[in-house]
Amino acid sequence: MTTQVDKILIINLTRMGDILQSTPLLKAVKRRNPRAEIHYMVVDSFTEICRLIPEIDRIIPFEFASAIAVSKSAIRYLPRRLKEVEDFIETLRKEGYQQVINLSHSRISALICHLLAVPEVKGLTLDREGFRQIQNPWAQYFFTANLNRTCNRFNMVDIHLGLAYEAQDHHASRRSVWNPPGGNALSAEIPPEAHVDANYLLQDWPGKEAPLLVGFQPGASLASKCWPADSFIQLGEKLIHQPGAGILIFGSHAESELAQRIALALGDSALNLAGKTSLSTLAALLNRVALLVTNDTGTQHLAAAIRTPVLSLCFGSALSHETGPYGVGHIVVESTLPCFPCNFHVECKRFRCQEQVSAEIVTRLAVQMLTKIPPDQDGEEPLPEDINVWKTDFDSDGFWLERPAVKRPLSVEALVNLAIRKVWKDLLLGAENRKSQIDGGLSALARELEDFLPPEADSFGSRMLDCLRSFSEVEELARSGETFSRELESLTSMPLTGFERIQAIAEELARVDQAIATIGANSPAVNHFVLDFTFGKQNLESNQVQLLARQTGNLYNRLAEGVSRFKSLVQGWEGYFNYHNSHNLLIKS
Amino acid sequence: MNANYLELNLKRLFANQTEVAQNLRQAYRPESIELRYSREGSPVPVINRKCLHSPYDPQGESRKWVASLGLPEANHTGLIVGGLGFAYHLTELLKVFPPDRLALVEPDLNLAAAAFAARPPEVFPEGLTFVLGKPTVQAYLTLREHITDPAINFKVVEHPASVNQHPEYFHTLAGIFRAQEVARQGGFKILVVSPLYGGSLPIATYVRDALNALGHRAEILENSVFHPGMEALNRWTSNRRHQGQLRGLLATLLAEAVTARALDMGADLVLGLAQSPFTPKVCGELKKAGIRTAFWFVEDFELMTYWNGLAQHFDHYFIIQKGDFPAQLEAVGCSQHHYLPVAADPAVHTPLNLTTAEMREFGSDLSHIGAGYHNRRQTFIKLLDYDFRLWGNDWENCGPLAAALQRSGGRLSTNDCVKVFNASRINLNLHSSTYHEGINPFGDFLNPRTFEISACGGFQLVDQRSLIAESFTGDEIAAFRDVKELRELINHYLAHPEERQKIAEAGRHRVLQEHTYSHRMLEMLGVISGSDPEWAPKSGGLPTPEEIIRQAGAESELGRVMQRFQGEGPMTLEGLSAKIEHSNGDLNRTEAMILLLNEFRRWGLEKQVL
Repeated sequence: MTTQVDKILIINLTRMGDILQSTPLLKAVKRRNPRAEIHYMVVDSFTEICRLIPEIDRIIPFEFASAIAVSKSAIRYLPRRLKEVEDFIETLRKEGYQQVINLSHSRISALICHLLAVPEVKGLTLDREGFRQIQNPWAQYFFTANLNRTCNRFNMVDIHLGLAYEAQDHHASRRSVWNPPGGNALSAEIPPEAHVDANYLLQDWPGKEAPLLVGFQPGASLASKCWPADSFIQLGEKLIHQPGAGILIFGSHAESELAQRIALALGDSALNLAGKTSLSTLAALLNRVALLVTNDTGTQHLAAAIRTPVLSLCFGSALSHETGPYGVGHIVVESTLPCFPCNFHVECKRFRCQEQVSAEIVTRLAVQMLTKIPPDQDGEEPLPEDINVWKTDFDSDGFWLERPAVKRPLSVEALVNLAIRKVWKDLLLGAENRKSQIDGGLSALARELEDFLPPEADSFGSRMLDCLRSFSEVEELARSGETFSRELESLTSMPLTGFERIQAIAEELARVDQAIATIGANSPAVNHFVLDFTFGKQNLESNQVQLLARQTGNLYNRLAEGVSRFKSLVQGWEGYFNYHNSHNLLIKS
Repeated sequence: MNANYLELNLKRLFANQTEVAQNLRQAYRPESIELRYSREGSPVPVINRKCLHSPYDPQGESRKWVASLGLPEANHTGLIVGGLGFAYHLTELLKVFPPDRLALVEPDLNLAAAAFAARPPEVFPEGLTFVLGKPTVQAYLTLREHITDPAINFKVVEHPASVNQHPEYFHTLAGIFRAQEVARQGGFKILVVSPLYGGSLPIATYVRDALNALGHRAEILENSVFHPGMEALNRWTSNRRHQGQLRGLLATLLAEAVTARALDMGADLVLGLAQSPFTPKVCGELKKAGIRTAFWFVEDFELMTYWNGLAQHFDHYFIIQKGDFPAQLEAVGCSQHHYLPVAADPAVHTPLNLTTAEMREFGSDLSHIGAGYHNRRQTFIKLLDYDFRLWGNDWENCGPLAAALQRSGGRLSTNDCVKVFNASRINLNLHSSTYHEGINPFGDFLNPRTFEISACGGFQLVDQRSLIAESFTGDEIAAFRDVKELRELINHYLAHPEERQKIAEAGRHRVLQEHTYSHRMLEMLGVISGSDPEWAPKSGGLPTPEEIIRQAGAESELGRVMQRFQGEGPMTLEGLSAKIEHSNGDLNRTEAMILLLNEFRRWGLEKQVL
């Protein structure tokens, strides 16, 4: 068993949604350390949401304006400004945290972790020399997933939960982290006075007694994430014809103009509440609606936290596999465009992904959710193929998963990504006996594959073959890297010998790494393993060459093991689907 | 009549400051200074009908003046005293400061000579520093040479009656001191705006380099990147009027870009050069943003007339001509105009050891670099009997001159120009004119080539210009008035290489001493700061590692961190962070906190709150 910790600092300098998405982690940490006090550092503008999270024992506001002010002209008053920084760090240090969980991936949070010098950091920090270091395999996976988004099939909540997982105690820990009694869910507590405030906001609205309230959240942090206002209006016009329906439009103060435009178009059946609610009142109002139709926003996660069904519209850079509504039975709509999701570093000028999602389709899905009829059983035409509709669920391990709401033929990407998820789950959980399941091939994914029709495209086989070829090449390279590393380890154990050979090995390893990186850059699937290897190498830190050689060898081994597991899992796909094609394809192992 | 102490005083001065003594002796014209005598018989000079000291009690007046200054203890302080007068105030100052802590500056050499003649030797004790009759920049540089002890903080005080005689001189000198104090602490941020094309283009680089060498932070807004665009506009229509309109719109756009860049970099000064794009609106916007504006009009005001309508919108307008131009500027409302000739950049314009092959490629008895202006065509046609090489562009249809034309009239790089200056026995420098038949009899300003050839140690024959005497003596440069004289001089100097060498060396010495872009920029900043003592860098001065060590204490962790960067000049937080990130070894606590501060700054920039 791991030792108990009494005081934990969690750093999360991101936004409201991310804070809510960390609530299952907070609960898991509490379960493992019932006596522990959890301090939570957030940017001061997001402290309000933290007050709805009972697991937070103390909020540490990171005062953004003060931090910026301290940095202004800092070079001219350096001793004084450094004193202010030192006071800030010292105040935290005096708390005597035994553990820091860093959920931010900014350099600011890494420097704070480094300066606090607590016994254990999970997440991004800096090593002794100031180089980036990602501590904890799940945190390392977070960075891989972030750089290779389309192949990731873990929700951020589950990745964060991984930070509470103890590999050496994996059976108990797995149950405690992903299968707690009642399952995992986002959480937010609505204070009683919030209901009073909600009543007050609704009191003059003619629709306040409407039995079927639907919430709209038409704004989002970026224009690329916002479904057009006209589409919301069309949706609203259709929904208000449902018996007893009324619409509440939510949003921040900055979004009030947008909300007002929609509200005006819908008349008395809609109420604009944008900019008028505190977060606790918003939670109380979300608690009253039967459904929230929303873009990817903090409001979406707040609704999920209070168990309100969510119809989520994912556009721009929002990717529902990562940050979709955590819970069972939410519906997500997103594009199948090749440019979706937007890269974080681009600014889209023509939001085609939004144009693909018509008000008719969203209306249909909303009505199905309100009437609890599954999407493919409403007697309507099949949903268009250029959109994906997902239904949220949990798998048998307690991990959140989006399942296709409409059965379609299995694509190479869908199979590969499910397989990656399976392999990574095993690798990250460190379960030694999981290999046997993989040896059974795709039967280990039987439940997930039931959501699909068998693959039908002729190119499926050749594309799978290409994919597996990349995996085989990387495996071969990784095995040779491991062999070189082991030789290096033994050479460096003998002083003053084999200098020339050591140099030759170093050159060989550089060549191997370059080849691995090149294959990774050309194949997103294999890159999901290569990136982890790269981060692992960045984490290496030792003055002893022999130790470094051993650790490097272990990293090659881990890479080879990962890609090999992937191959074992998928290479029987032909038999599994009873799929034969006229080209008589062979798969080389 | 009182005794004449000149020789007695000069004798002592000769021992320490020989040049000053020589200049004083040469300048002494006793009859030119009017004197009055006080009740006690003390002589008081009268200049422009103003007494420089009290005609009743010069000693008493000086006592009161010194008392009114509220001077600090002499321990770590020295004084630069503006104005010598007849040195009554000096006597009072010497009661507080030892002679080696006092330096006196007086631009009027004749007045200084009169003072040395009229006042007894005890008034001028040994150890005093005199800077007499020197232009402001030379005065500043001489003072800097004398002020070598960094522990002594020199303060400038001005003798009011003397300063009233030469207000611009003393303001500029004080301005140079202020600007260079700012430079010591990180400098002004200066945006040098280049033209799109033309001969003045390299000057932007020389100016930028000079400003940076002085300790300021200058960058060029490189408008030449838009030159191909402007040429494209000219190709898109052959309608001259449309071409003009399009060029105007482009210039307006580029002027707006000046504001954007200046605001982005946090400029303290925007300096436009020759034909760089500005509009009155842009000048107004820059002023509104607290950014000073200056323009260096390094061209002929009669040929290029765009100054009209624009000059008055700049805070300062620097010109290379005298004559009618100042009055014309005044007439359009531009009162802040200042004469500032062009110069050379010794880092570029320098003597070279050329290889034999280079001598073959670039050498000749006689050469000229420049565009094919009308007057040059008319003149050079008469020189084809010499070993003459003609370099430069715009020589189309030049008839027999084509025989001398090099590289088919291709433009020469700056480096190649320097090689030609070095390789030619005689560099011909004929200022351009679009309409004179030969030499412009009314030519006034000196072109950059005049200074550049001299800086290279090259020998030149230049057409006679009325402003030559402002920059060179007859021993430092040779000038001709017409073609006849030109041919005589060519023949003479080709036959007398030793004379060529002597003049060239003297010319180079003079350029290095007085006519580099560093000298010009010192003067320019002195003028701007002198007329505007409140002008301070917006970002404040940047500290050097040494200053941070002083603030933090050498034994503190910050002090020890900064010791690694001593001698590296002023620091920004960004620069310091980069140095720390590139250092080897463990990151200590202070270094990590510096990096954290820098991350805060970056966050602020990202969120656009800084």
